[in-house]
Amino acid sequence: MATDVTTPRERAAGSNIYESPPRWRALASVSHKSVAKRFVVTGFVFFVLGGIEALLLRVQLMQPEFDFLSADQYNQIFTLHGSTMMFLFAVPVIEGMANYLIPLQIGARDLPFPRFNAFNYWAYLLAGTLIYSSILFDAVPDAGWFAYTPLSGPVYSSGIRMDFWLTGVTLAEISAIGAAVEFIASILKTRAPGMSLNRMPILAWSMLVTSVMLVMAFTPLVVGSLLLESDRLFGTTFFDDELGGSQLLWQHFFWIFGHPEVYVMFLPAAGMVSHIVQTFSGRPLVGYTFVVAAILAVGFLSMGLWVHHMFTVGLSDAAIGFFSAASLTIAIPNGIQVFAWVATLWSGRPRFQAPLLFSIAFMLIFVIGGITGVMVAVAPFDWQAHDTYFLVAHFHYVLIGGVVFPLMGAVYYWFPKVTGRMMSDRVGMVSCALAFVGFNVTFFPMHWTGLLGMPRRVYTYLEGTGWEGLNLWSSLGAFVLATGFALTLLNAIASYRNGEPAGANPWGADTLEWSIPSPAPAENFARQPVVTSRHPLWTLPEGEPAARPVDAQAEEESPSGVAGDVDASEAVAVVPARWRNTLGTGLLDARPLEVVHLSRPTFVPIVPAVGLAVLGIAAITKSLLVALVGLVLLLGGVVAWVVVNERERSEAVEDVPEAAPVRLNVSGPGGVGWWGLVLSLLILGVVLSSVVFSYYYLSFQNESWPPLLQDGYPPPVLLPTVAVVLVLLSLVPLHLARRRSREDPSADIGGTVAIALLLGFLAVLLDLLTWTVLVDFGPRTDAYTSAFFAVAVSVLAVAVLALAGVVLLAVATRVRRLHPRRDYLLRNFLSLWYFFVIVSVVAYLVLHLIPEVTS
Amino acid sequence: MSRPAHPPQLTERPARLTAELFGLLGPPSAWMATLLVSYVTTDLMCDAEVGDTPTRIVLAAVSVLALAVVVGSAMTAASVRRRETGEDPVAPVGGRRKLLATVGLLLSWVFGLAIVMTLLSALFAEPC
Repeated sequence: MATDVTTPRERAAGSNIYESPPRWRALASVSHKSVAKRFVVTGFVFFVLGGIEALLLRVQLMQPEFDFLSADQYNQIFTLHGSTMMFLFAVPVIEGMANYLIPLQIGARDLPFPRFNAFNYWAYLLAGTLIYSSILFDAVPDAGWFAYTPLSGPVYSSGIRMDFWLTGVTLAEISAIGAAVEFIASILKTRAPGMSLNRMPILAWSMLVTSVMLVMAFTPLVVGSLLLESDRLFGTTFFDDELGGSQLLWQHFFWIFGHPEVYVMFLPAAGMVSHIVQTFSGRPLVGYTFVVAAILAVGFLSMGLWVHHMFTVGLSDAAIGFFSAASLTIAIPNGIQVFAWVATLWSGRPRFQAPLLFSIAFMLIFVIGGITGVMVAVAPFDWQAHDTYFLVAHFHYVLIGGVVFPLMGAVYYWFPKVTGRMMSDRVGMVSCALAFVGFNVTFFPMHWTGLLGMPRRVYTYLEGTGWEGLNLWSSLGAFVLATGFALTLLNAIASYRNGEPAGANPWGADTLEWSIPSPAPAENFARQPVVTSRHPLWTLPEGEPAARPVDAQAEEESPSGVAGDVDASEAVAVVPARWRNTLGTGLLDARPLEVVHLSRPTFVPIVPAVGLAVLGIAAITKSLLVALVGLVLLLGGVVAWVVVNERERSEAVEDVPEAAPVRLNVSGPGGVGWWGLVLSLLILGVVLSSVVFSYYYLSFQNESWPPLLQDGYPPPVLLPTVAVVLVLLSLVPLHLARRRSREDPSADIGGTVAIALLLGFLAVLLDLLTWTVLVDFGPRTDAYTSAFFAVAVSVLAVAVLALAGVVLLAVATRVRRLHPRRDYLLRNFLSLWYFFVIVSVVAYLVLHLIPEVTS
Repeated sequence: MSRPAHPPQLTERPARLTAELFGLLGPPSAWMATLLVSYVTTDLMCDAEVGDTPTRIVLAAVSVLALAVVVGSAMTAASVRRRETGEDPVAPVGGRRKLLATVGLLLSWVFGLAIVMTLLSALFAEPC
């Protein structure tokens, strides 16, 4: 089977511009493969740290009343263990692997926003560094990885321990959400020509759904963390019951994130297993359509399960019933995936090598975790098992079984593609056997310790409880499990140096990453392939590449007859070789639409990431000066980033001829940049929705609203009404500018844009005047005033963003008239302004008009 | 060579795309709306002490409405799928339409069942 779709000369030509800088300057690399390797290596370092912490916990619980760790040390270590495994290992490693694999599987040269991708890594690294640096200050977080209030609030965690946790976790979440934007835009808009949705690899479907879940579920936790930090730092009262706040608000925020988080880790891992199972069975996955439906169903259902973590907080029977029903339903799509894997193995000719063994171990363990999941979805059982070791057993079966075992299998499977060398299969089999036995010896007894009543999160237990023997088994098993996983890590290190050289496709697999040499060349595909099958490397006869260079495109890929349709061969023929690029294609059927400019290596993304970390340090040290430094680094970094990007794109714009069938950076929904912007606005929308949710949740939880405030309610309505009218009026000049620019690309629209800017600026001034001078309360009075200012600050943040965007646009049009092929600038800023208008109207309704009408 | 100013962005007519999206995303959206509306409605109506029976009637109405949306989505997906009969399942356009329509039909079953279970909770559990 010929697998290389590129010629050596083409590869050599491509390598010049796609190679990462040498030596220490490699840190400036923004290539998806470099960033991916950083994510994976850093993630596994944290995995080792989290594993060591787990072993320390198991030593402490090995016998009753043991004093290996004090209660305080135990709390610190179990908080670090949970936080490390959830925030610093599982999600980042999955993101790292997807970072490497997704562009290769969909036939792209890189992710569409390489600098943003690098920024996400630096933010993640700094998040982990921040959390672990707490060890140096004897301030390790100790309120659990769930950080329940009031334990994590200012009263019961008065030091700086939880500040480390909150700032570190927030930074890690920002990184994860950023990566999600990359994956969604990449999978939807940069698939190789011909890769219509029905030809997409299962891992791409998994990552697409997972990334949407990341945006929808992780963003509320960022908001929750900021509100909790605000309680700790500024004395607001979101989680203070005595002042109208609510402890349960935190639980809602945490579990709206926490439950989808499980599937954020599981779905990509299951996607990897789908590839391993079909490759090692030597046949296509049985029930591709069913598996795609299952992935989508799990994605949606997982967003509606969070309340099953709160069955014991005092909900009505009906409310419990709604969430119990949803929790039971999710077993169906998960079961479909398991049946698909079993059917594929059953109907194929399985080769029992290390990747498949880890996948089979995953299936066995995950099914047990799924069954205990159904048990705890039944509320009466959950009331008995809640906060016992039964839950610890259940979620480790789901998380280690459902995530770590597949990841280990994936390491064996894709290691040759990344390094060009094979890992030892024999060591892999021993590793899998040890891990499987060790895992079950560790966690199966915990079902019993839980049913016998042993609570979780306790540092010791009394003799005579009947838990002693079971705990001893769990502790011994943990060391066997650790040995199993350590063997794989050692195998990887040894194989990286001395492993057998791997060919392009050592497993005889079907997806595009196996069509190029191992390790993958810098440019991935010197000429991007055209896909004609769901299994590109399996379909065509021996000797003929299934994924062909684009200019060899076949007749069956001819345009559909839609006016202006472009065929792939013409599209790629115009792509220049002097700057990095990849093809942008249509969302549904992957028809070529644009040439996406990919940015060059630079250190710039490190600056805003450091700025965010310094802002975190400011929250920990409560220093205004440090906060100012952080803000300067953040804003300065962003401005430098925009300037460098636009300079590079200005150089590139002339390289794509006017009459070319595809253009550089198409504006509007056809362009990947527009999708990046819309996804960013979606994130901001989720932020604002979460803040408004807090406002109304707190109002429903209190018998009177405001709970304590005596005077000043409702707040003034006159000036905010004028402000919202001004904001709406600002749409008129922006629309005029858009129309003029469309009719005459060389028209000067700076003046018209400036009018919109002035109207927006006046509106913000009026709102500021109302919120700082005219209202009779501050944010600390009660839950109402805290929620009021949270909404106000969110609107101001969006306003600053929108105004800064329009200023930038006005300057760009004044200094250099907008190039007709860079009108994406105007369209993107217009979208941002629309969002600002919507946010202003919502805030006006929530803060001023509805209170005025209802009071 | 004359080219349009902007390449086309989708290969579907808006009406057809809307039908495909409704067939695909209608069932999960209906379920999500049912879950959230039922949860909030229970809280509000119980706080207002309107009684169990009126609360049950409202909750049942929400679920029945959502089931109607699911049935509508399923019929739309079935219609899209029927039109593509005979297409190669991995052909670029017809295959994609057929895949999304089949996935929509499967989602209709899963989320229809989830809504029925929500309805049963509303009818048989104490709302307040």
